[in-house]
Amino acid sequence: MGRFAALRVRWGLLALPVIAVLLLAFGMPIASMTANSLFNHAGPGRVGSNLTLVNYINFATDPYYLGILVDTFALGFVVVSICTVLGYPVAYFLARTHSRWRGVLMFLVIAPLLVSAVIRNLGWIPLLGTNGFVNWALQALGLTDRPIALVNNFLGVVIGTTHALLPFMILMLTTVIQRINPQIEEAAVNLGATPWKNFTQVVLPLSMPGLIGGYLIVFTITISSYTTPAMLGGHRVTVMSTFVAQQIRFVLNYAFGATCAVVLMAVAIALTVMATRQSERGS
Amino acid sequence: MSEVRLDGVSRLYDRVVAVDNVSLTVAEGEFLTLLGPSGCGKTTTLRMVAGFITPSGGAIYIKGADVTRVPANRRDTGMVFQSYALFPHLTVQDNVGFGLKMRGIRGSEATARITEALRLVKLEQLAERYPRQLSGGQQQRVALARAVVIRPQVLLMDEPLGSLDLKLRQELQVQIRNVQRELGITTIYVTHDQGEALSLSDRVAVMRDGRISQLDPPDKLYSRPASAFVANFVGRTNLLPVEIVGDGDAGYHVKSSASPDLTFAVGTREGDARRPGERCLLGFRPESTTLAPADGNRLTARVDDIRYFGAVRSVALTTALGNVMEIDLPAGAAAPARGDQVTIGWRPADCFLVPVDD
Ligand SMILES: Nc1ncnc2c1ncn2[C@@H]1O[C@H](COP(=O)(O)OP(=O)(O)OP(=O)(O)O)[C@@H](O)[C@H]1O
Ligand SMILES: [Mg+2]
Repeated sequence: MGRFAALRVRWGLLALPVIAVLLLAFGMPIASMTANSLFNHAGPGRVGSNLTLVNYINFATDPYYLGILVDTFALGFVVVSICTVLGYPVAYFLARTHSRWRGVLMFLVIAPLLVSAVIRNLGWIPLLGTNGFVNWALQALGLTDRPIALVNNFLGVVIGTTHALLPFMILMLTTVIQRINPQIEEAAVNLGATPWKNFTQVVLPLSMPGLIGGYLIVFTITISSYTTPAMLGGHRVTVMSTFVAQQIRFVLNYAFGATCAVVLMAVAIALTVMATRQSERGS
Repeated sequence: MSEVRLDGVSRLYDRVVAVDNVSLTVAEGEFLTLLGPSGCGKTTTLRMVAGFITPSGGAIYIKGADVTRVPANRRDTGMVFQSYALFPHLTVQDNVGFGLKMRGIRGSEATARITEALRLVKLEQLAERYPRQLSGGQQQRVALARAVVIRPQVLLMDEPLGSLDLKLRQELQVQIRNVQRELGITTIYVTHDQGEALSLSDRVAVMRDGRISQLDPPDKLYSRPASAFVANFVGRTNLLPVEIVGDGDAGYHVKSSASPDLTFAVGTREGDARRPGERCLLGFRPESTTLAPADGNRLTARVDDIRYFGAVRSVALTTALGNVMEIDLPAGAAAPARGDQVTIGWRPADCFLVPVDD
């Protein structure tokens, strides 16, 4: 072994404690969850001792459970789409502007990250209520003549989650767009590209890493988020995370709760891998 | 008809005047270079022709049509950037084909034109590569092919060789000139490298503080600079303060301002007539100076330093008038030693007069 290799190994040793803590903190709960999901339900609060796939079979064959999974994905998809559409123009502006207000705008963008989820959602409830500001404004503008149900439903969860995760999308896209040489856009325009062609043929393809990164972050956080669906969904919205909590805390079916958690995690991992592959192929 | 005409074009940034009332005409097929020190407004001028910057005043015409308010994507110019600015997600041939695609040219015609453009820059073999798989020089050749394949009215280049090393720069200069000649394409080229400007251009516009100082063919610019600024910026120059004594058919007679009994003959009469008594600067180039001349203008000097450059020896001198000067001697000729007193000389035809100002 060369001296440098030896040195690298010794430095590597320094990382060991951190790796150990990470393994304990993240690995153990996942391992115990996975283990729980592989045994039978033996009455409230008890996991049986028969190794079985029955929990997975139950999940996969019951339309009700599958429906929850579909709803969770629908939520993720809707939130990612809205974040992309709302976030892209802002990110483009932030990436390209020389305005002295850039710093202020950047702060406003990341401000939602500075507030805890509970406070943020408590703030939304009065705003979105039947007599809240948003409904008042919509009526004042003549966009509706009756209050719209904006909270305690799917829409409320979408609004709250989008607000919380938009900063991630914007930050991700800003970083990537900043790295696109502005002269590349000028070259496109010089060669006859209209603003739209420049966007679709040049800027958008070159933004792909940011879009994929933003999608990954926003989608995975959305499908695993608990606080916002619980607070803004009322009791009418059930997503995987709230369903898992319900199974474990109220139904006391640890085995099935664990099963749902593992399914959610597996799907999230699969999506991450797919997206990473995609972005590697792109670059 | 002129291909490109700038008529009193200006551009202001806040209170900075980046380009100040520039007028020039580029003839069809001409290679015109904007040359000048950093910040003199070359890029701003070029980008106004491309349509990326709107002039604060004046008008720009391409083929007789006023394009001052025409957006960049409808101006029909081909631009080559210093940063190459190739599309990283497209192959070489798709980069070159981009402008054709924007013009709705597809299929066999597009393929033929892409192949032809790549042949011009000698990159046929690399059509399938991506820009990141190419060297800097190759990337810039792709950029050149991409700009000319659309057969633009005017080719615009902003220091295209600025980030390449000397050897490659010289190779590409030749290639740019060949492509430009072969296509007969009207070209505006920006550089702050005077050698590049002189060797490539049909005419050179020397810019200073947003204005054109002088616009002339390279040989005239070099041998008959119109100002001390141009004389110093284009090549090296020795300048002596002088006063006009007489005005004859063969040129002027001048005397040194510092030592009135020293007189020189200037064998040229460019520009406005100069009156006796007028003060100006007498200029001559290091390489048109000889040691111990038989006739012509003479000046005694002490040798301060000698530097060897292969083809020439550059000799730094302090003249009897107290000026510091530089002369080039053929490397094969006998060289003086440091501290020697020498007489230097130059022919009346090899010197010029410029105003004292600036
Ligand atoms: N966007 C801008 N805002 C303010 N001032 C600018 C801007 N662009 C250029 N300028 C100023 O205008 C002047 C001319 O700039 P320009 O880029 O045209 O110079 P240049 O001749 O191309 O210089 P270089 O050789 O360094 O590229 C400079 O003083 C520059 O500081
Ligand atoms: Mg410039």
